[in-house]
Amino acid sequence: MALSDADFDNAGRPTRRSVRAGDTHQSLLRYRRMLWAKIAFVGSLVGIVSYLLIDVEPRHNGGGWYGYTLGTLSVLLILWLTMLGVRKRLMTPGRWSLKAWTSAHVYLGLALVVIATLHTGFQLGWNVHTLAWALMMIVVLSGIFGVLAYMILPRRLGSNRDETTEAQMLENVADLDRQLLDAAQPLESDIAVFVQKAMEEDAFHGGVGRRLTGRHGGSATMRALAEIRSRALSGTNAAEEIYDRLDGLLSRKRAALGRIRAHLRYKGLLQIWLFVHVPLTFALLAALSAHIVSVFFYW
Amino acid sequence: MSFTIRYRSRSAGGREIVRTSRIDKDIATIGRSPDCDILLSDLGVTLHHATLTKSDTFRVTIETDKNLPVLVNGRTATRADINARRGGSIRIGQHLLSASIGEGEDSDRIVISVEREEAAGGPEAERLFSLTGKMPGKRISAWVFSLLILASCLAWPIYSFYEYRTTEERPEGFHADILWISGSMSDAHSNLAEDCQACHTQPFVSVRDGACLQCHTDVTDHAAAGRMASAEPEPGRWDGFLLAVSDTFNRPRRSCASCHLEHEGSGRMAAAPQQFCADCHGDLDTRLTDTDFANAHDFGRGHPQFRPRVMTTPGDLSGGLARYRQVSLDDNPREDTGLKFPHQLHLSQSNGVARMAQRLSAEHGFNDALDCANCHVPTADGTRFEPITMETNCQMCHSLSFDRIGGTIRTLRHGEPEMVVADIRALYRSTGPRRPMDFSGMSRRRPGDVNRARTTDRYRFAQRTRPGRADGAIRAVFSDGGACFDCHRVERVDRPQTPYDVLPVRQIGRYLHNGWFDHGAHETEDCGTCHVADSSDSAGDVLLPGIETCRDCHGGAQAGGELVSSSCALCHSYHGEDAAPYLVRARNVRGQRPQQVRDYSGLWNRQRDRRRQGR
Repeated sequence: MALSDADFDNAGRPTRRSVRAGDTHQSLLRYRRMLWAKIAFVGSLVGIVSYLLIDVEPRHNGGGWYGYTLGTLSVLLILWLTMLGVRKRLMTPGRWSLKAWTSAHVYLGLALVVIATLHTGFQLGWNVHTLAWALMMIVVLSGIFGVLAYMILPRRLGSNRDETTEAQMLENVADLDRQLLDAAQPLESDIAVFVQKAMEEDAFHGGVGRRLTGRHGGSATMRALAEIRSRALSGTNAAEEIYDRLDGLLSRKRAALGRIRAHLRYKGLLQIWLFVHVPLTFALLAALSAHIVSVFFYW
Repeated sequence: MSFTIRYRSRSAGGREIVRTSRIDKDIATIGRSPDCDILLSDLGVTLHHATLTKSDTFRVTIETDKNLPVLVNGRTATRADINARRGGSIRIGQHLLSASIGEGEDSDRIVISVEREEAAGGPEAERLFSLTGKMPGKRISAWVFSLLILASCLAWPIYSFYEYRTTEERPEGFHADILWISGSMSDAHSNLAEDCQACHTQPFVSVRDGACLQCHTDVTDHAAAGRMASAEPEPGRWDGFLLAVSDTFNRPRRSCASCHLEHEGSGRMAAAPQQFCADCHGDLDTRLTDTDFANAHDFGRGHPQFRPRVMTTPGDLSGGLARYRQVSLDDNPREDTGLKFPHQLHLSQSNGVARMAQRLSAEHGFNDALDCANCHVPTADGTRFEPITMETNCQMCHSLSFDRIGGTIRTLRHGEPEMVVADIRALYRSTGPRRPMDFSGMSRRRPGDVNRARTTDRYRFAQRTRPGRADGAIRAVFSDGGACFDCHRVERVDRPQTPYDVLPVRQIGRYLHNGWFDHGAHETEDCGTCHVADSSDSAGDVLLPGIETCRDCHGGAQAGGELVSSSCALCHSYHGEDAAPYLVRARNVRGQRPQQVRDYSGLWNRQRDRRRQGR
């Protein structure tokens, strides 16, 4: 059921009626009717307009009262945004809603792009100052990726796994492998090799790239299946029953692996941005320190 | 003869242990209770959990009790058929039951393998399904990145600063503090780009004037510091706040770097904006009540009339210096350079001067009449004009020749009245009077000796008195109609040998000493556009154009349209140096700045002074 304004009171909290109706979930992006989006938008707009109106001689740069003001604002924003990592680990009752905090984190992070870029005065070069700016941009872009991933992927993740748990997925494959082992006992060694390879195949092999793209190249299960089918079709083998059984097992293993891989892909995409977002935030803090110290060192 | 149950388990060493039992009926019960056919000792399994029914040789049906769904081939079900030939699995709690067709003595049975699963899932599965193992850890990469950046962008530059702290000049090459550069250096300072310490001498101390003055040794102050301070307007609240902040951060006021901003990109450093000048000069007289400067804030809208420095007297014969006065062009100033020179007469198209110009055109390249360029030659930099000299300019027409010996013409020495007197006397002393025509025997004469005797007497008299005639000639030269008097002011002096002297002539090389005018930049214009010389009948006229003439083309800093935008620095130098203002230099070819302005005022005295010094 879609939410309407009637479901929230003036402060943007869900009303009792909507809570009763079970509509307690409100996306952090829509928190309090996008209050923080509005604040961030107004802040960015003020930044852009003042940038255009205020005449800095000879041209806009990070210095001067305007440049230093933007810089101070940016560094305070960055420090506050970083504090989300601390905030989310604290159990705080009452007003300090984590959802509010995260909503503000997303939108103020976007506003930071505007403010900090204005602080550069669009003077970029190969130096520590631009390094800090570039790291900030990468951190924010990875954050945007994360928000988009959280908007799009969970639905696909859910529909893919179809109420099975990860443990069940693993067991399923292990189970199939065991059955394959049993079923393959009577096979000649030349074809048993294929089944052996198929049994050894798991969904976790390969690096990050393979996991995120979902491209796994040649699959041993597929090869074994093709081999079994070609032999069954040629009708050279009398052990039709075994092939029939192996065909079924391999097909199920293929499906099980496919599901795990899709699951891994979505899960990876939901996680990967944090591997950029978090370490580069700390790199940004380091670059920011170097940036500020350097400015005052060569004051 | 229906089911064979194989209980599989593993020993601690990993060896597989299989226990087999056979059930000879087509229905087998599954549960935790000991009376069940397939016993699963698992608390997650009820006493009687499900029932297996063999429907034909290779097909079994599982049906669970009391709506307890189990996983059949990975799917939840309360009732399912399993084809034992294709294989199938049933998960009940932690037990996995796999169905298959029996072999050998069990060939007509369905084999159910029962295996207790190791506890899968948990942290192990969590790790498998996350990216944790695939990516470097967040914590470790955060540390690595941060430390790398701190080491390379903070520690290393600081080290390089202290490494060369005591060195006069850094060696060329990469120094880590270049990573801190906040923008390209201007062209003039580009050679310092690798040597941050050339200017940033102290850590955490902003660039001080001392660093600039290391190289810029000849920069003069705009005005005395005290006067500068009192000329500045009282800062408003906002400016006061900004000043307080910069004081807090130890930024000196009124330093070189307050106006000359570096690291703003390559190219020339930007000139200070006009407002910088107008802040003080817009209403200077309210704070500096004794100032000679009139208020100015914009050339187009608020700039006083030009006040050239004109010569009021060229000096005197006793070595007195020329006197100057700064006077507004609105006050119709007159000047006295000591010279008589009507421009009108010389520039006429139709008088004797023009005729003479035509006559001498082959020799001197004149046109049909004289024009400005015949006498006024631009200096090498094109800014101003070479001084006028008798020898190169006037003497083209105004000859000082007085005698001819053989083919050589003797001229009077210009600028040296004593020599003029001496030369004339020598002429009269060394030459006789012209011999009378009737003096020779061959000539025709009137009859009678008396006439001859008279002629002889007259000639002798002439010979005797000839040196005395020099006085008259000298007097004539220095008097009205004489060679000197035409152009110079002659005064009688009490000196027996040389009773005349000539008042010195001094020329003005530059009228506007606080402003800069570059003639070269205006060569598209005729001289007459600005200088109304062809109607000036006196050398006393100051032939400078007023500000209105300039404003025909030049507007203020914000001028638009056809007008040339002209801010302060187009004509004025902040540091009062005798060189072109910044904007003029910026436009001209770099380095084309006059080393010094030629001083014309001593020109007249030169020969005499040299001789005196020689003595």
